[in-house]
Amino acid sequence: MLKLKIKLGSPAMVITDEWIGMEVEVVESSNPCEIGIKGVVVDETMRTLRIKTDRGVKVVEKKGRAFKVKYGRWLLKVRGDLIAFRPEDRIKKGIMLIKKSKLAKIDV
Amino acid sequence: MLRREKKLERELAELRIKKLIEMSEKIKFEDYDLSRRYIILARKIAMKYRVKIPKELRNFCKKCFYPYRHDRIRVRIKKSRVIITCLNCGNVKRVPIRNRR
Repeated sequence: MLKLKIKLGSPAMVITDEWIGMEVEVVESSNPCEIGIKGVVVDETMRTLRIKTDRGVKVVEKKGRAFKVKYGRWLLKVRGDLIAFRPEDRIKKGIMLIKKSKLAKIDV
Repeated sequence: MLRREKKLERELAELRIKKLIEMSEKIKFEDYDLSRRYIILARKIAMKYRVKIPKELRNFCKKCFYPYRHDRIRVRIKKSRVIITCLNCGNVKRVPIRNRR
């Protein structure tokens, strides 16, 4: 568990940063087929991520999944519920979530 | 009550806009629609946090948001202005050429 800091470049700020172009792997999901989907995020909507893999573009829902993300020099595991907002809302709501910080559980 | 951190929000918004538009510039020859989608996302962020999109990144049509691509626009110089016509929607942008002296 990392200490949560509201500061540019700290690992907790993945929630607020741009996910398009990031390398992502689905780690937890209720759907066993989705586990192990790995690739670059191409597009993002309020509820889903579009991930470009070797076998085409896959659409994965954010809620109830966990993602492994390469963010800067960290390798983070992010719960999908934390990023289940519209991409432009995530800056404001993400900072609020980090401030409440009871909700924001981010593992390395 | 929790307070919003507007300064930090704006900083983050600027960074994200820059990232998105650079990415859209990169893929505009492979996937035109996706690069338009990135521009729309960047504009949404800019409007929400009231950040200006910097002038050098405003390389897209104002009306249909498709990025300018040499095969989808027409550029003419007439009466001391640059006239850029978007061939997707027909929107015309006129940029005056100022004499800097």
